[in-house]
This record gives sequence, structure tokens and C-alpha cells, in this order.
Amino acid sequence: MKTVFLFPGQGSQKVGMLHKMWAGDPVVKKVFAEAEQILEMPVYSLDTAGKLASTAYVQVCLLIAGVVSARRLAAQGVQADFVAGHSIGAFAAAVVSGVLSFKQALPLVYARGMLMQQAYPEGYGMAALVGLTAARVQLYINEHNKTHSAIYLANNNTEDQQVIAGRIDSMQVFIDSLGSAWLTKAKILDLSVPSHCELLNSVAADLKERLSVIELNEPIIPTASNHTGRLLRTAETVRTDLWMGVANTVKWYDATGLLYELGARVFIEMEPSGVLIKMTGSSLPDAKVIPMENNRADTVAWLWNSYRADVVE
Amino acid sequence: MSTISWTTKREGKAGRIRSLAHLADGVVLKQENLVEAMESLLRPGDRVVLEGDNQKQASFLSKALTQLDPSKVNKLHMVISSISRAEHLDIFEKGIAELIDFSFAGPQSLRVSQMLEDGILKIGGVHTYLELYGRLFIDLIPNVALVAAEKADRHGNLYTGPNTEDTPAIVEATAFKDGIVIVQVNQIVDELPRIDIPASWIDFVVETSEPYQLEPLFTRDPKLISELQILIAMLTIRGVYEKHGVRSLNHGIGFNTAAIELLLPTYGEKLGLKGKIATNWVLNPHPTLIPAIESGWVETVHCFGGEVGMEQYVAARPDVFFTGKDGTLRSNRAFAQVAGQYAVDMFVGSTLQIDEKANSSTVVSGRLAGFGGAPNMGHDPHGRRHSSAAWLDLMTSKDPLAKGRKLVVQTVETFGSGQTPVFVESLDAIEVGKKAGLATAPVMIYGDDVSHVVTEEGVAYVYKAQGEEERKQALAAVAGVTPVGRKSTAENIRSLRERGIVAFPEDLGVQRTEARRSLLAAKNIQDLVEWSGDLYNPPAKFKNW
Repeated sequence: MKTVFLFPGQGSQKVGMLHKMWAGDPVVKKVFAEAEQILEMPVYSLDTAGKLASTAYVQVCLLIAGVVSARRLAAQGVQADFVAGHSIGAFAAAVVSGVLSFKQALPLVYARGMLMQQAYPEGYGMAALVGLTAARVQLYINEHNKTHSAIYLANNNTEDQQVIAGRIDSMQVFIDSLGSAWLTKAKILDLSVPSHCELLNSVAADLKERLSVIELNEPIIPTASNHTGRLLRTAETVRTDLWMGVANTVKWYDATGLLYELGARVFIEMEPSGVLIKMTGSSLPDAKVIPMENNRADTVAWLWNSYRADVVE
Repeated sequence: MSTISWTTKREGKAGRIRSLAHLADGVVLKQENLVEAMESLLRPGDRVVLEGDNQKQASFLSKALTQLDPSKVNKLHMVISSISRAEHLDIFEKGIAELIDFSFAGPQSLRVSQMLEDGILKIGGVHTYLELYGRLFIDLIPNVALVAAEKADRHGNLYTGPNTEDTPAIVEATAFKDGIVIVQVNQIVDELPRIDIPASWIDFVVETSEPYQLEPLFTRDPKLISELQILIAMLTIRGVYEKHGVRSLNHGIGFNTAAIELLLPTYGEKLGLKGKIATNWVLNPHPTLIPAIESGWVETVHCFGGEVGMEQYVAARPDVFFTGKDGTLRSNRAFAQVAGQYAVDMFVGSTLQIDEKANSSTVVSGRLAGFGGAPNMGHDPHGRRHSSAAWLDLMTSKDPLAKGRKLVVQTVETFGSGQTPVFVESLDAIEVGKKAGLATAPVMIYGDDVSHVVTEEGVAYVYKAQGEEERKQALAAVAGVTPVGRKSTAENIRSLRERGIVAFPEDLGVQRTEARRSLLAAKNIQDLVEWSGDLYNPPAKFKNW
């Protein structure tokens, strides 16, 4: 039986998410201090409603929360056999797998967020669709794009949950054309960036530059890739995934499915928890899922140990 | 006189066995010497059958394979019924194996697809079980077989017991063509309960510190059966079993057929059908069949494999099940597949997608899973000639040479999980097959073999439809509000119903309101245990009371 640490992506952020983390915990205190030293600003100024309106601060907050969560688990002896981060979560995963240092990751993530939010000022975004497989959505997108502004499959989250990206008006036409015969749910998301498609190629190229000058360490924990859905075992493949990820479909359904086939049965979602656990529950009904949020680290450790004793390979 | 040697394989085998004589005590190999022994036995490019179906796995031997040195053993051609364990594919990543033939890959289907795409493995073929077993005797003859048994004696006789499954077919193809047979056994004993496979077919046995892996695959908790599934079960009982008087049959693994099993002693009893339908089965020991057996519905059951927890129950019902002199079940997957293909009148199963011509597949979302035995059971063997009332009842022609037809029944809800329509215009399998470079699309059951499709809307007697257009109409008539179903018109439906090509619940005397969970003979696993008189001992993960 193997364990995965899941690192959530954009959409999971919550106002006050860093305030919620108990600063009396020496692990939290240490990571926060490190973050303040690098960013040169107080951690508690990052998770306000005002700051979280900016993609850059959302991504920074998610990185900090992910790293804090994993280190709290490590302090309790909870170990991961695999890590997987959704979109921006991949950076926290890269820190925890030992490829990137926290110090390297923070400015990179801030830059990624800034580049993304500056790429498309208005009229672009993303939409969530429920009810169709990725293959079918892609088929309909190919048809749609013959006559409309191009839209893209941005995330394949579960078998029947997809996210698309592109111009909002074009996405709306697409959703209307499918209608309720195919879709059980469709929603334009409150996001101004058309992520995970070729519209962000320039951001990917910029990130590639920045990553190319960074010295990376070989991973101590294998990572599930965003853009290939494969397992990454080397620093170089993680490097490629970190910049390619921003402009390619997030193959989350494949990534988590692969980890399951490799023996993963316990999935722990770092703070802020909920989104990835729900997806895991839907894709892998046999898997045990544990949220870090609203749980004490020792409770999570206890649960983890009891699941490990339970689930015989 | 010819100077050609006709005994090269025999001599080759003798040479290989001599090379590890120092590691073996007679036929007994020590667990700690296994990897070394396998390295001297196996040659690059060998064809190796590794026993593993959807239930029983030679798990110790598959782990040992991953430890081989790829500089000594490589390019293996693996033949595995069911790719179920991570090691089955790890040996490709490690460069020990390169080619694979298989039937089913459900638990590792994503990795199979990815590794195929990445060029890490090559696929010989995705077969049905019977094709795979058959080819072991034709052009996939093994050099080495790695199999599992419960017990062996010091001579190498084997007791495979309730989970005999694939072992006899694999061992026979290997042993009688000068291949080498290695068996992992849970225990070496002085005296076996019975001999399932004789020692003269076996080369080596290894007693392992952990038992072989065994999955309880056919246990369905009645708690999870929905009222929609109960309605479909009622329609199937009335519109298919009763209408055609079907006595011999196979059921798939899903909740739809579990519901049928649990309705026989209640709904079936009320209809006075006992002894008239569903008497002779080829089926694993499904726990959900216990109430029907206990109520006297079931005359015989022949099994593909065992089922965890059913051992004692089966042993106590030898009039129903096939058992040895020792009292325990004898299963045999190859014989059960033959029986399921040729000897029974009906297959009832389910699927994830079905197209307008009734072609169906469980391959969706790019996972290359294969279908195991479903295509064997789920087709009409055209060479069949033994006539039964049910088979003859499907004869639609007055031609003097007309023949009957096997019933191949698909029972599906019109929408699957996550509200995905089950009825589609074209199968996702087509794209998956193209992407994987398969010669044919991975269809589970071909539309022209399907005789009936049952949904919560009604029964489509597709075997009666004349021509492709009418066949499509019949399917659309039961496809509900899926995009396929919306193509049907009131006029078409009226005509199809009048001509008996489609039947709605009211045409069959089925009350939708009667489809309640209270109709199930057992509502949960605990009820099944009670029905069995405490003989059924469910695995821990199903003991939820």
C-alpha cells in the first residue's frame, strides 16, 4: 500500500488560509519565517481578500500552504511514496520531492502568477464541464474550432469532469451548443487566465528560461506529471513538466489513475483541502482520502497508520 | 537417413534443468534460490506464461521476475490472462520483457495504454480467454510456465482446489511440449486432499512465505443494488427468461445480474417460474446466488474459479457444485468458458457504452482494458447445433435449414455513473483502438451477436428486427432520453410494440411501482450469510455490520 501527497491548485485558495495554520507549531513558524525572509513581506498579508484577487498571490499562498502541510506531516513521520500537484500545486510537489528548494520555488511561483495574470487582461478564462469524457469533449472542441475562436481542453480532472480554456464568448457558445443533452453541469469559472493551453505558450517559454538557470536536485520522491500523466523520476523531467504544465492540458485523471495502478491507496490532500479529495473519491472509489485542512497533524498520522495496517497489498 | 534431430526441445529442456540441479532438492526449490534458478532457466526471448487471471495470481513468481538481471534475462514474451499486478508491467520498464499477449488488463489498463504509447511494451494481441488458451497450443506455445497452487507434495503433485481456474490449461500446453513448469505453492505437505495436476507435468515447486494473491471479484453487496436495477431485473426475468423459457445460462459480474439472482426466490417464485427458468448455470460461486440455491431454484453450477469466502458453502452443496472426493470445489476456467460459449442458451451482461447497432464496449477514456471471457460468452456460436427450447425459440426464418440462436442479452441503465449516456452514436473504443494501433477496435460484444437489450424503459428484441434501420429504431426505443433515444418517434415505437420488437413494462405485466428493494431476497451481505446457514464467510472488507 502506497501513499500520495496531493497539492491543490488554483481554485482551492481561501481568504485567511495561512492565518488558519497554527503558528504555534514550530514547523509552521519555520516555513513562514523562511517565506517572509524571501518575499520580504509578512505572510499574514498574503491571504487577504484583496491579495487573493491576484493570480500571483494565490499561487504564492498555495505554495506556502502546500509546503507547510507536507512538513507538518513529515514531522509526524508520515511519508509519501509519490507526490502530485495540480497545476501550480506541482511547484509545492517539486519542493517536497526535493527537486526545488523552497527558496528557489517562491520567486518562480510569484513570477509564474504575474506572467499569467498579465497575459490576457480580459475576455478570456476557463469553464468547468461535467458529464463528458475528455475524448468526447476534445471531439466536440475540434468541431467547434472550425467555426469559432479556438478553445482548448485545459484539465482532464476525472473521467467526466473537464475544464476548458479560451475566449469566454466562444466557450459560452460551445456550452450552449452541447446543452443539457450531454452536460450535467457547465460553469464559466471566476478566472481571468486561459491556463493550460497554447494561449500561454509565451508564459511557458519565459518559465523555461527561468528554470534553465536553476540547479535542481534529483527527486527523493517520484512525481506524477501534469502534462503527460506519467511518473517522473528525474530532476530534468520535473523541470520540463514545471514549464510545459502551464501551457498544456493537465492530465490529472491519468496522473492519479497511474499512481493507483502503481499501488497508491492512501491520498492525503495538503491545505487548503477538498477539491482534489473529491476528484480522487470520484475516480478511485477504493482509495482512502485524508484532508489536512481542519485536521491536527497527529490525527492525520494516526489515520494514515490505521489505513496502512488495514489495506493489505 | 536424415541427420535432423527431432528432439531439440527435449534436449534443451534437459540442459536447462541440469544447469540448476545444484539449487534444487528433487523438484523442490528453496524460495531464496528462486531468482538465481530463474536466471539460469530462462533464456532471452523465451515465451513465458505467468498465471494470473482476474481472481488468482502467481504473485510470488511475478515479484521474483522483477528481480531478474536484465543483462541475463531479457526480451521475454509474456502471456498473461489478466494484467492485474504492477509487477506484470514493471518487468517491461526494467527491460526484462518486451512483448505481451493478454485478455484483460482492467487493474493496470492505464499503464498498458501509456507504455504502449511510449514504446515500452509491444502487444501481440488482446484476446478472449479461449483464444488465448487455444493459442497456447498453436502459436503461443510456452517455454516456461509460472503458476500457483495451494498445496504440493514432495513429488510435485498439486492441489489447486477451489481456485484451479487457468492452471490445467497453462500447465498442459507447457508440460507436453517440453516447456518448464514452475509452481509456487502455499504449502508443501505429505499428503494432498486430492491431486488436481499430477507430478509428471511439473518440474519445480517453491513453497512461499506468503500465499498467492486471491481477489474476491464476484462478491456484490446487495446493499448497493438500486431500484432502477431491480426494475431492469424484473423486465429481464419476464421479457427474456420467462418468454423464451431459458434454463441454461451465464451471468456477468454487475449489479444488474446480481439483482436478477436475488429476485428469483421472490419475484420469480410469485410468477411460478421455479424449475422452468435458470436451472443450470456456468458461473462463479456468486454469493448473491445463495438465496436461489437455498430455495431450490438451482440444479447445477459449473465454475470458472472460486470465490473468497464461499469455500465452505460450496463444499456443503455438492449436488449443485462440482466438487472433488475431498469435498472442495473444482473450478476450471477453460472448460467453463467453453460451456459458456457453446453449451448454455443465454449470456446476460452489462456494458459502459452501446452504439446504435448494439455494439458494446467497456473501453472508454483511453484505457485499454480488454474483456477477458465476456466475448466468449457474449456471442452466438454459429456452429452450434444442439437444440433447446430457448435456442429454437429465437429462430426467425422458415427456411428448411434455419437454425436457432443463443440469447445474448445486454442489460443497461440508459445513463451510467456521473449521468453519462450509455447509448452513444459511436463507441469511444474506436478512437482508443486507433491510438493503440490495434488492427480492430476493442469491441466487447458485437452488435450482430446481441439478441436483446434491456433498459429501465423496456426490452428491445433486436434479433427480430428486419434490417439495420429497424434495429436502430428498436434500440432507440429503449434508450430513454439519451441523444440516441431522442431519435425515436412515437409512431415508430407504436409499430415496434405492436410487432413485438419492443416491449414496455406494461406490455410485460411489470409494475414499475413494484420495483422496490424490499423485493430482494437478501438486502445486504449479512442476509446472505444467514441464507447460507453461516456457511458463507465474507471477506473482511464486506463485513460491514
